[in-house]
Amino acid sequence: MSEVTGSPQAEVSVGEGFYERKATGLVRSISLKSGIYFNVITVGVMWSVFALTQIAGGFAGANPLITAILAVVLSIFPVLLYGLWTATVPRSGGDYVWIGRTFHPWLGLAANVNATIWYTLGNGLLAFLLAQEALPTFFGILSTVFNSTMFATWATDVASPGWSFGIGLAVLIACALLTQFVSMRQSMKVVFGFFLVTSLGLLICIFVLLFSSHSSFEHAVSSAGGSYQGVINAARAAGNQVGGSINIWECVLAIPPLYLALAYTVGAAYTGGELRRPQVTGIVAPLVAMLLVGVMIIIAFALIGSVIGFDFVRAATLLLGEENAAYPFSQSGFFFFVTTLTSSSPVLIAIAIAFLAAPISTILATVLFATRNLFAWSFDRMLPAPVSQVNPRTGTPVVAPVIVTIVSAIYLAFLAWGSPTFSEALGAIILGTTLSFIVTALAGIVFPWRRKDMYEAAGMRRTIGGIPAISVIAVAALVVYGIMFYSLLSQDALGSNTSSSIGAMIIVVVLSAILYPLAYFANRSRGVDVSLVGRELPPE
Amino acid sequence: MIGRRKKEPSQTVFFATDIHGSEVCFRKWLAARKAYGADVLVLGGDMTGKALIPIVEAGPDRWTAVIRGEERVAAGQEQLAALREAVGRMGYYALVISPDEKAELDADPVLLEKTFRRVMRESLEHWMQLADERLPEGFPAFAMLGNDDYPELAEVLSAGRAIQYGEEAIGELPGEIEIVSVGFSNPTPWDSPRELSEEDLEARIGAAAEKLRSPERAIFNLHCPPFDTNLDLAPALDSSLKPRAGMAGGVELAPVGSTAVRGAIERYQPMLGLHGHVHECSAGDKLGRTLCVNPGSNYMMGALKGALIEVGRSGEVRGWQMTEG
Repeated sequence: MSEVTGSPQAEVSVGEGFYERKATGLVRSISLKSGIYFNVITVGVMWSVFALTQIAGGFAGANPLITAILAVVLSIFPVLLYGLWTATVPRSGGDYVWIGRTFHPWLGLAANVNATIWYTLGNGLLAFLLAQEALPTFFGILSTVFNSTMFATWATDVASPGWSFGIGLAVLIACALLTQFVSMRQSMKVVFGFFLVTSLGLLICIFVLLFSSHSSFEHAVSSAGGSYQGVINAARAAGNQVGGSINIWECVLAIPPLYLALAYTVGAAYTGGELRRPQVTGIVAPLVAMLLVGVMIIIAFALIGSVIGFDFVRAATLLLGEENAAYPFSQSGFFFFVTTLTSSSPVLIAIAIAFLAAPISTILATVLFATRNLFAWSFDRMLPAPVSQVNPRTGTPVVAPVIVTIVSAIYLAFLAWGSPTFSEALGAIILGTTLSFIVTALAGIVFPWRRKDMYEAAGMRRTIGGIPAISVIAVAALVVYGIMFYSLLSQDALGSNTSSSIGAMIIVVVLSAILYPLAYFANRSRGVDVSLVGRELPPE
Repeated sequence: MIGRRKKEPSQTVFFATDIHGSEVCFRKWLAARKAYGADVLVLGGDMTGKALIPIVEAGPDRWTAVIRGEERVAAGQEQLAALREAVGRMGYYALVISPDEKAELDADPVLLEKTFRRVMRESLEHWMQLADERLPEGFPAFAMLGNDDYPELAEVLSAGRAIQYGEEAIGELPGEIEIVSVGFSNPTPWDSPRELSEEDLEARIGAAAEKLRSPERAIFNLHCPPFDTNLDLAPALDSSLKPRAGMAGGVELAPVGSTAVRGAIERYQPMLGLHGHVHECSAGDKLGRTLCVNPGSNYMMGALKGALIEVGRSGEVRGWQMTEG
């Protein structure tokens, strides 16, 4: 992630457009390549995979491929907003700093805490999915490959609440221990390893789809004892709309699960102070990362549409949810459909391992990200000082990962025994984080005027039609966030408009909002005023 | 504001370091007195910049410069002033020259070094004037050179009225709290201008500390951080002085602080250690009873990283926090 600028120099030397003298050069900075890499690996490619059945199953008029293309186009604005923020105010901390400096440190902290809590809860969901979806699929494939009843039994057993919680908790603890005792560099290597396995699996899926035909999938359905057209007809007979004309507005409303994978490719924005040439890296790195992920999603969806057919995906998702016997398989979803197209054991095992690695990669990246935030709050005295305790040998946080794990584990327990739907659990996370994004966009709109001093001193001051670019893009991003927010609150298929999701959102907002006043009064008795932490010093 | 609700007499020390020629950071350091309500200002070394940006005449009333790889053009005096300011904000020195002068500098390392030294001196003299104008008579403000500053610049600091050159003598804060300053570092791979062996550094710190009336009530302003703490982690270098870097996880970190500084802190146990040198390592740590702080540096962004420390008159640290203003 980081590289070092500076090298042994003569007493003085001539560079491109500058003269350097011999001086200490130990400054870490993140290059463009590392910025792109950081942004890509911190988002879960698997979200897009889950989005396929969510879109197809939840929105009758939405075509997943068109939805994916629209998601990529619309995500340009939120991603560009974070890029422009990074270029304009390249300080480590991201929205925590930007919102804090534009409005008030209280709001900056609240928005950052809100997002971090939801990311951390997201880890609980990922750990749950690992046990509920990934492991059963993994064992299911192993049982087919090795013709083993033991693996088939395991596939069923691991999905029970007790096993789901136990396995999920073990993964969360393992990730926390890794971040506690292994250097950041090594931890990122592990994240990269899991990301590589997932990406390889996805590429294999794409190749399997490329070399498969629609008739081969129809044959696979027949072999399982069903009928391709029969599945679609059964879904229609059950009163569902399958097929028909595409409704673009419904495609837009179906974007949120995909936007979770695309608009979140902004992880490097939080390390703004370490970016080399932030005016370039800050903007280009998240855009390229988003487009890379977006193109992968579009290719995968286009192939699924061609080989499997979106009508079948929708029918399969609906019938599986209704436990209708006309659907001959016990599972649906991107990875599963691909596994029906091949009988090659190595390919099947590779796909199974990729499915297993996907949540672990994102869990680890999120633990690193969330602990970094907790560490920053503690440093700013918003949390007790021990939270920022660091292992001097590895430079890794000691206490912060424990807090992250506890929060994730609480949500994991709720998911295991509270039985919300996957859509509900995921929708609540998107809804909650979108609130923080909205505040970031509002700050972007007013920043050049509200903090004229900072804007005048900014490294990036491009304009569009005479108006600061950051404000123009922030308005566009706000429109996108607004559409997402509206969709999440109005569309039952996304599961985020239930009373429990909205209640959870309110609870997290309240928790985020009270941290600053608590810290303010707790520190005041020691003569420390936390409002000074982010106060901009006037140079004149 | 720190120190506004004092039940017992105390004072607020604002410490920043490694501003490396950034005038905007220096101005912010001066402004911290009012903005943060600081009672004492300390600047911890490495005051001078590392690079000169030539702004070259490119025609009548027209100049060009390359800043961080991007060519910038200034047309007219107003744009030239803005360009100079932009260069200064990034911690570089702007040098307006003709193409012939640039060719001379490109070809003559001796002339280039002379120019460097002249520009650094002029900049520091200007800063001392700024401080004289902006700090009230008798306000306790301390600065020192770091390992990257040329030794002859000490006389510029000594000549300032408002700022006390910390390495010259023991400084005195209200409440009979003393501050001792040593800006040398242990050896670095870059062989910078003010480096000492660990033995010599130990002797220098020891000699300065022996002048203290009560070291346990003192502040040790030592540019180099103590070895193997949260304050001194920097990228590890290989035998060819390149960082051990990899795509999937950045660089290996290793402690680069001074064993002499650590030894001095452990031996004298002052109430506070103020350190810098390692820009990316913004942290606090405890060595026995001593709180050691390195606020780090973000001078290239024009942001002043600092630490506000509430110091009791009876010689104890009551509270502290990092800032980035």
